[in-house]
Amino acid sequence: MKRYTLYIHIFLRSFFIQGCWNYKGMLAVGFCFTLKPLAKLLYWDDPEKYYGFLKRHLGFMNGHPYFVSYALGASTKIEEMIAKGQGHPEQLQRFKNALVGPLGALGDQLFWAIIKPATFSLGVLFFLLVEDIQYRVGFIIFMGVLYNVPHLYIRIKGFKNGYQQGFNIYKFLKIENYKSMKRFYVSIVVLSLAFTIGYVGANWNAGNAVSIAVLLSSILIARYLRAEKGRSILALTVPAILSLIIGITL
Amino acid sequence: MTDILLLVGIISILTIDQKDAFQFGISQPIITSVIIGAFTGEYATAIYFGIIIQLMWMGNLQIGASITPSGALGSVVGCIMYTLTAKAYASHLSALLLLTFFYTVGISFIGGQIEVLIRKNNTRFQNAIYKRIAQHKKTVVGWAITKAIIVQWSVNFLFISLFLALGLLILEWLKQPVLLTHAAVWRFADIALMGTGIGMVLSLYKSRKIQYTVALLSLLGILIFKFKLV
Repeated sequence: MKRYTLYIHIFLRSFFIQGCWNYKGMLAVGFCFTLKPLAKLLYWDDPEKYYGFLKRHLGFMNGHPYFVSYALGASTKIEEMIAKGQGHPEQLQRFKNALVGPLGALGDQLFWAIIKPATFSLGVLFFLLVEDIQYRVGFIIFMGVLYNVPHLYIRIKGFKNGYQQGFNIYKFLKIENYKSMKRFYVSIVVLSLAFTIGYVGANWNAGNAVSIAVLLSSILIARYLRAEKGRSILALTVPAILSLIIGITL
Repeated sequence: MTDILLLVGIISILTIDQKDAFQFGISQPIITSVIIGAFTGEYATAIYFGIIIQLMWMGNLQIGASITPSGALGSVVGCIMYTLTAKAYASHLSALLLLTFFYTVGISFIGGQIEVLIRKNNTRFQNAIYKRIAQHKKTVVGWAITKAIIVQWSVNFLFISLFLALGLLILEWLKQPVLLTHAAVWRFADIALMGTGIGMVLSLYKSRKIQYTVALLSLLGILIFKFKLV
């Protein structure tokens, strides 16, 4: 198998990295599955080393599913070094353990807290403003691009940088390195939410004062209960119950 | 009936995208609502529910091993329920929205607990691989992932089917009492749910700068849309 074919195999398999997520090894099965073609390439004629490779990648591993590509790239590089007698498997396991925190924190912060809300809140705003189904379907494709360009970029760049840097990959795992991406998507989420509030406040229930008051109080209550008190169920249900009370009393 | 089962089957495949494979974002309620609209022929109704529910779950971050409510599954059930019963509740759509929303929240938390069981079951697959490696037998890592995804799909399918049937039954049962209420009682439900969704997304950002910018721009937005400046 040629090198670049191997890397494509690893890249494609990485889409299933969370397929068997469990409490024992977390991403371990997916990580092992993703790197299995490398094991075949390096140790196919040496069963002892082949099973040793699989076993060490079934050890505990976790991280954000997109950002874990940095660990995949670095592990590929280090495994190739080990096969050449230039490294030790124990070093690799320690290195993977050290990456768990940064990979998770960075991915959660960038994707789950910024890029995902930005993309889909923009979708909500567009769907509110445009009723034509053809435009709406077209916008779904746009949302797909907006979300998946950074997604695929991280997967590809992560593997490439990981492979080039090996043990030094931790230098890339800082939110400062994604400043412009973060700024761009934060702008989208801010604009989308603000204009969604504007649209709903002005148009729903004819934009009367009570409606605007219900909207703003719901936003503040949900935000307060979720962010300050960490009470998701209350944050989701209290504004709805209050709206019912207001509806009965007014 | 066959159409609904086919729809549930397809949507169950899409919900795999939520955690288990690909993660392209296609299991988001705003997207699944369009598919539900296409199947039922009620685009506007399905998308309306999708828009309202979309913002709700984005504030729940799937950090590390944390268990979050299964918002994607709950939303699908809610969206199909809302779309199928909208005509029966035509005079009380806001009431239907609120009831469906509460049901969706409830089953989403149940879905989160079912996820715990699936993850525990996946540990069995990992242990089986360890055993085969120890015995130097042909390893089946890919097969373990395939089995885990099939289990996940089956659970998603059963979850959506069963809770959809139960939800429709509950809505049928509640129809008469709800239709007897004054429609005005429910009139602020839609706007409150939209506000809740926005508040949930805003809860992700602690930065004062972001909060103030949203507040200022939303005032501008209200003026723009109220006086149709664009």
